[in-house]
Amino acid sequence: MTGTSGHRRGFAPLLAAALAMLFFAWGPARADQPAGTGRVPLPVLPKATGKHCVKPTEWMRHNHMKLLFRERDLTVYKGEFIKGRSIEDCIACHVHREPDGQWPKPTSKKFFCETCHAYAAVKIDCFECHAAHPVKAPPGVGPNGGNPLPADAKPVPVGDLGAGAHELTPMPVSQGAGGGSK
Amino acid sequence: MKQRIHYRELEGGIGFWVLLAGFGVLIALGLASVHYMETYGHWVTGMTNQVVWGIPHVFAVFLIVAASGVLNTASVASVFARTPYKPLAPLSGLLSITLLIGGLAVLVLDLGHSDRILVAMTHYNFRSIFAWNIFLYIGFMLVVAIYLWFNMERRMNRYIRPVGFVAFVWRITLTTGTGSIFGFLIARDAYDSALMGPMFVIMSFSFGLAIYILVLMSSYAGSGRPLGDATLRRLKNLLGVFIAAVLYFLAIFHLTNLYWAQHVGVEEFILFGGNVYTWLFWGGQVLLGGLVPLALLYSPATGNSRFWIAVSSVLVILGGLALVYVIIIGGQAYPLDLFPGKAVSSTFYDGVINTYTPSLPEILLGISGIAISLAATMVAIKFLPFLPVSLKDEVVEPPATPPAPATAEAHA
Amino acid sequence: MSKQPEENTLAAPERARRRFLTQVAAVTGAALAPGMVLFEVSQARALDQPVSGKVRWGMLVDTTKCTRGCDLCVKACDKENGIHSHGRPETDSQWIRKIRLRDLHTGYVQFLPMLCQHCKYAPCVDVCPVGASFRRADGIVLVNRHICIGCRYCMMACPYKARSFVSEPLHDQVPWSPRGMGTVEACTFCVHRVDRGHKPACVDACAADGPGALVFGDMKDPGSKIAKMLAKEQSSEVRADLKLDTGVRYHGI
Repeated sequence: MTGTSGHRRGFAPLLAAALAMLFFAWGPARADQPAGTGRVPLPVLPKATGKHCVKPTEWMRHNHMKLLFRERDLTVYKGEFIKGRSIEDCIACHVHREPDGQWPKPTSKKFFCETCHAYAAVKIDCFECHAAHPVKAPPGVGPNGGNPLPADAKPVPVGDLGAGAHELTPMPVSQGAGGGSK
Repeated sequence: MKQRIHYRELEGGIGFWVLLAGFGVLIALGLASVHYMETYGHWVTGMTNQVVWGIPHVFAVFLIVAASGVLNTASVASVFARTPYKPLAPLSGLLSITLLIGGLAVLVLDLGHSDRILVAMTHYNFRSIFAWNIFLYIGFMLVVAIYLWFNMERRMNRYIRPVGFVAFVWRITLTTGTGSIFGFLIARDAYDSALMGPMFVIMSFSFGLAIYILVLMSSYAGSGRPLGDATLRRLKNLLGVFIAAVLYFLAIFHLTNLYWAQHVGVEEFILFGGNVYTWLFWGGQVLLGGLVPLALLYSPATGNSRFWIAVSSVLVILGGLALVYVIIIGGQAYPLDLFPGKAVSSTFYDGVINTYTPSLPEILLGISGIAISLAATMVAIKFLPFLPVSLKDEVVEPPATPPAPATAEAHA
Repeated sequence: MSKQPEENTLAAPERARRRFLTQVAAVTGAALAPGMVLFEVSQARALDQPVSGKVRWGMLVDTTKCTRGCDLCVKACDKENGIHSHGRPETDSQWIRKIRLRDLHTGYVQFLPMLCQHCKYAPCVDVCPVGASFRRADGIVLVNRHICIGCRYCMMACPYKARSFVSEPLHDQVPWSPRGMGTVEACTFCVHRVDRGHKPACVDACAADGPGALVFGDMKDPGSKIAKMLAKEQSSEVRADLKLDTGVRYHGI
C-alpha cells in the first residue's frame, strides 16, 4: 500500500473482506516476518531524547491513547495547551534522524509509534495530518513567528502584551515563496 | 380470504447464478474503485472543490429515495387495507431494505474517511438534517424488518396494521429528510426550498414503484411462476399517477423559482441554458421519464402489454436518474452569488459555471450500489419465502364467492 | 470510552493547579470587577486556560485599500499553513482567495480577499452530521479533523465557498497546521498564532509589505483597534441577507 492511505479500516463486511485479501497479499505483517521463527519479533523502540516521559513509561505504554485523545479534544475545542504535552512535544522527543540523515517515515518500523503499532497490529492515522518529525519554523512563520518559546517560559497571556494592551503583536513576515493558490 | 397465498423460496437454475455472479463482478469493480479512490484521493474522480458531490451521490440518493418508495406496495396493503396488494407486500419490504443498503453503501464508500463510519454512528449533531437522516435510515430498516417478520409470521399477522402504519409514516419522514438535505441549503439558489421534501416523497413513489414492477416481472418470468394481468394493471395505473405527480411538483418548483428574481439565474441556467442539464431535464426527465411512459401506460395500444409496461418502468428509472443528476450536479454547477449585481472572478472559480466530468471509478462505484441492492434481493428471495408461488388473478383476488367477513377482517 | 478513566489521566497536581488558577481568577475578578473594565480581565488568557466567549475574534477588510495585483495575504497564508499546489487547480485547497468585483451597471472594479467568514450562526456547523465543524467560544470556526468523515455537506452549505476538501495524500505538513486527505479544511484565523497572542499571517503580511487593508482583533473589546474602526466606519457583511453574523466584515462594498 502506498503512502498514508493504507490506514483504512473496512466497515462493511464486503469491504472488510476485500481489504483483508489485500492485507494478506502484501500487508505489513508479512513483510518483516523473520524466516523460520514463525513469530513476530518484539519491537525495538528508538531511545527518547528527554529524561523522562510525561508519565511513567509503563503507564504510557498502556494508556498513552487516553492522554492523547483527551488532551487533543481540550486543545481543539477549548484552545487549551498543556505545556510539554502536545503531539509536537512527543515528536520532538521520540523521533530522530536516521543515520543517513533522513527522518523515518511514519509508516516505517523505524518510526517510534509504528514500531509498537505494527507489532500490536493497531493502525493509526495521526500522521496523515500531523507532521511526523520536528520542524523548525522559518522566520515569521508558525505559532510564535519562528521563535518558539523557551521550554521553561510562561506562555504570554493575550491581554498582557504591553504596549496597546488591546492588540495582538505583529510579527515579521516571511518573504518565502507561497504555495499553490494565487 | 378463503384462499391463502403460498410463499416459497425462488427456484432458479443456472440463469439465476449467472445473474448473481454478474452482480458480484459489478460489486467487485465498485470496491476496486473505492480502493483506487482512497489510495490516490478524490482528485482521481470528477469531483472538485466546486462540484463536491458527484455521480456516486446521484446513485446513492436515487437508491435511497427509491428505497422508501418501493415500500408503497406494502403500505397500500397494510395501511389502506387493499387485499390484492397483500401478496406483493413481502417483496416490497425486502426491496426497501436492500435498496437502502445499496444507496447507503455508495454514500459511505464515497466519504473522504469511510473508515470513520463508526464516528458517524457515535457522534451526532442534532442540528444537522444529515444526522437525523442517519437515524431515519437505521430506524427504517428496523421498522421494515419488523414489518416483514409480522407479515411472514402467521401468529403476528394480526398486528400488521399498526406496524405497517409506523413504516408508512417513517418512510414519508425519511424521504422528506432526504429531500431536506437539499432543501435546507439556504445559500444555494438551486436548493433552498421547502418543496424539496415533498417533491422527494413523490419522486420516491414513482422511482420505487418502477423498480418494484421490474423486479417483480423479472423474478416471475425468470422462475416461470404465473403473474396475473390484473396485478400488473393495478401497479402500472398507480405508476402513471405517480409519474404525473412528479411532473406536477417539478412544474410548481420551477415556476415558483422563476417568479423569484434571486433564483431566476439558476432556473434559466437549468431550464434554458442549452447545457447538459437542460437536455437531461427536458429530454431525460420530462419527456423520456415522464410524458413518454405516461402515454405508454395509458394508451390502449400499449397499456396492456407487458413489454411496454417494462419499457415504461425502465424509462421512469432512467428519467429519475436524470432528474437526480440535474438536481445534484446542476445545482452545484451554477455558481454561488456572493455579490449580487457584480461580476466576480478569482482563482477559485468564483462566478463561473463549474464543469463536472464523471470518472470511471465513481461511475463504477455508483453502479455497484445498484448491484449490491439487486444481489441482496436475489439472495433473499432465493433462500427465504418472499414471493408467492402464484400471482394469478384468481389467486390474488378470488372471484366473488361470498367470503366469511370475519376471516377477511382478521387477515386484512 | 467512559469519562472516568479519561479524567484520571490528568495528574493530581495538574488538577490542583488548575483549580487554584480558577479560584484566583474568580477572586481577582470579584475584587476588581466594581472599578475595572471587565474586557481586560476576560481577554487575558494563558495557553492552559480555555478560550472564552468574552472574546470574539474578527477581521475588518478595507476594500478601498486592497489593490490590484497584490496577493501577499494569499502567499502568506499558503506559507504559514503549508498549503502547496498539486498543479490541479480544481482540487487544490485555497483558504483565502482574492476576488475581483465589477459592477454590472457601472463597471466599477474592486478587489477583496475572501476567506472563512467565521459566522456566529455558521451553516457549516449546523449541517455537519458528526459535529466536526464547530465554533470555538471565541468565535473561530474550525473543523475537528479527528472526526471529520469527509462528507462535504459543509461545503454544500457554506455561502462563501470558503472550504476545501483535501483530495490527495499530503506530506510535509507544518506541525502547527495539521491537514490531511479525506477531510475538509478552511481558514482557521491562524488559530495557532492567535492563541499565542499574534495576528493571522495574512494580516501581518498585508500590514508589513502591503497596503494594510486588514485589521484583526477582538470585536467585543471596545478598546481594540478593530472595535474602534467598526464603530467609526461603514462596514458590512457579505450576504448580510442570511443574517449569519460574520466575523469578517468589509468596508467599502
